[in-house]
Amino acid sequence: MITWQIILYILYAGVLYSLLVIGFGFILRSVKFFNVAYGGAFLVGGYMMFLFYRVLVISFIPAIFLSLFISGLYLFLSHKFIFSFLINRKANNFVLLIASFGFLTATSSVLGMIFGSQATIIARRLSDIHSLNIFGGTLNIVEALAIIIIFTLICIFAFIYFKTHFGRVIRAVEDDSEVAELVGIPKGKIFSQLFFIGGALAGLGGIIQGLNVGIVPASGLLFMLPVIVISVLGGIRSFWGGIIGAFILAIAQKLTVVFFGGSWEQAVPFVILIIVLLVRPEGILKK
Amino acid sequence: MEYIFHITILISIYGILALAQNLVMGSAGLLTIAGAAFYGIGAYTAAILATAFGFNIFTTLIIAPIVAGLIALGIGISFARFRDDYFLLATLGFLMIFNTVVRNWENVTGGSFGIAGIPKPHIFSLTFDTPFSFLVLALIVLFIVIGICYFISRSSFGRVLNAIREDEDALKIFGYKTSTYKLMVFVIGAMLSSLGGVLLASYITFIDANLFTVNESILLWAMIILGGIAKNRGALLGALLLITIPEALRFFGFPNEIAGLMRQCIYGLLLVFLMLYRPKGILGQYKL
Repeated sequence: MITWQIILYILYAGVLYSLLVIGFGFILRSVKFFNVAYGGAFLVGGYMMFLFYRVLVISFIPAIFLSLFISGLYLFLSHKFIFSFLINRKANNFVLLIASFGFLTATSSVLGMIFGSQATIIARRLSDIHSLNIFGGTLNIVEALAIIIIFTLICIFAFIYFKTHFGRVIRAVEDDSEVAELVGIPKGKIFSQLFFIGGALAGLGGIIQGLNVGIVPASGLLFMLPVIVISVLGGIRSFWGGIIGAFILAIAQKLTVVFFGGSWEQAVPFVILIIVLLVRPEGILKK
Repeated sequence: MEYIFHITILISIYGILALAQNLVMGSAGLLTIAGAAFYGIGAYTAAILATAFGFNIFTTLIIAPIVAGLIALGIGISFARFRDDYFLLATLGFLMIFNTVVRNWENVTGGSFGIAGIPKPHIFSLTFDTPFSFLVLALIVLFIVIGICYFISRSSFGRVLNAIREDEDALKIFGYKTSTYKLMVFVIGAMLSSLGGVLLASYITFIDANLFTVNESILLWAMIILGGIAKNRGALLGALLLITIPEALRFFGFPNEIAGLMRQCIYGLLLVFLMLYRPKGILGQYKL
């Protein structure tokens, strides 16, 4: 039965990474650099949920939507006032990467000053997070719900991305934003929408993490790094590649925990990253 | 007076680190975040050799650069094919792996407990255990590093590095083997950083994995970019400013934890604002 338990944990880690990588993919494909400010939106989502749900005692569902709105707004504003400004000035990736690392550092330290460096637990009572028995394995309610909700979200986003007009517009902008602009697609507006959606998805990741085990200011970068690794692993231009990459990483991480112990978990993404970069830099699914 | 010595020692150590980072990132334009890893390798080499094997810190000042240089050589060869973003990611991966290894290899690095009781350097009957004598030692090392950096930036090697930063492909056409030059500067940078690590370990006598994180590399970035990237003087100025200015927070009486976070916040915002309004820094010539 231990195998089944491991599969459940892999499933949870895999969907959480998938959620983050979908949002990150939108941003990566549109601005073409590894914008780690995305990790800031993860933190903003988690901490805003703490603020609304536990400090201001707003009920659960409205608190989630408020936090998602703010984390979306965070990433949208960071793009509008920092990154789009730099991109318009034709700054190279060197400048963009430095600015985004600086912005993430600033965000996590500000949140650390407000909420403290200790783990912040969003749940009001620990007894709210009860465990469920799933065919002999255990997951807590947050993990189980997260699997269902994120799985639905993956389907919705895949549908939007591949089947609707809006999705086609997104793909056009991602493919070549200047040509897209020539044929009358409002590039700036699409970028803003993508950043808002991406920020909200990252924020949802932060909320789930905060409800499940709690959130610390360092988790912005800690979650950002595997997500970057996944997008390289899956091929940065591919939607499904990202999701496959998320599950590969989840499997590798959980098996490492089983065989070598939990403290090595964080190094797994980087070992994979270096192997992928050396062996197949274009990722699993080439586009 | 002790306090001024303390600050000056820190400035010297960070001056060394900033110069080394500037050599790699400024002169050659290799975007690396592994600065803290080589700094840490230096510190851990010194700490392990001095506490477990009774080495003199002076000896480790020679051994640590060799260890760091060899590791950098291996890393550099395997990362040679990456450019820009991917080089950054690969060095980030290296830093995280280094950090995890240090945190977990308890027999050697003390795991999360770190290594305590690192001795001060001594030569014959002279021990550098007062702040003043340690400052003299730190300044001597700093001046050696300054000498090396100026020598490199004025040599033909330095000019090739600058050319790599400006246009690597053009240089390749002229028949320069750019990957060899990049590898060399990466190794030299790592060796110089490790000197800073040895001094730090011996000075604060206690090290653990939390000293060598991404935040530390971000601080080095902020230093060289604030001072003016690709300028040796800029790196020194950046180290001076970013060590002294946040010290002012201490006088406002913020608790330690908040002051640390505020410093981080200043470094981060500084990077963002510099990128937005003055990417070449205070003394800079090279426009990013």
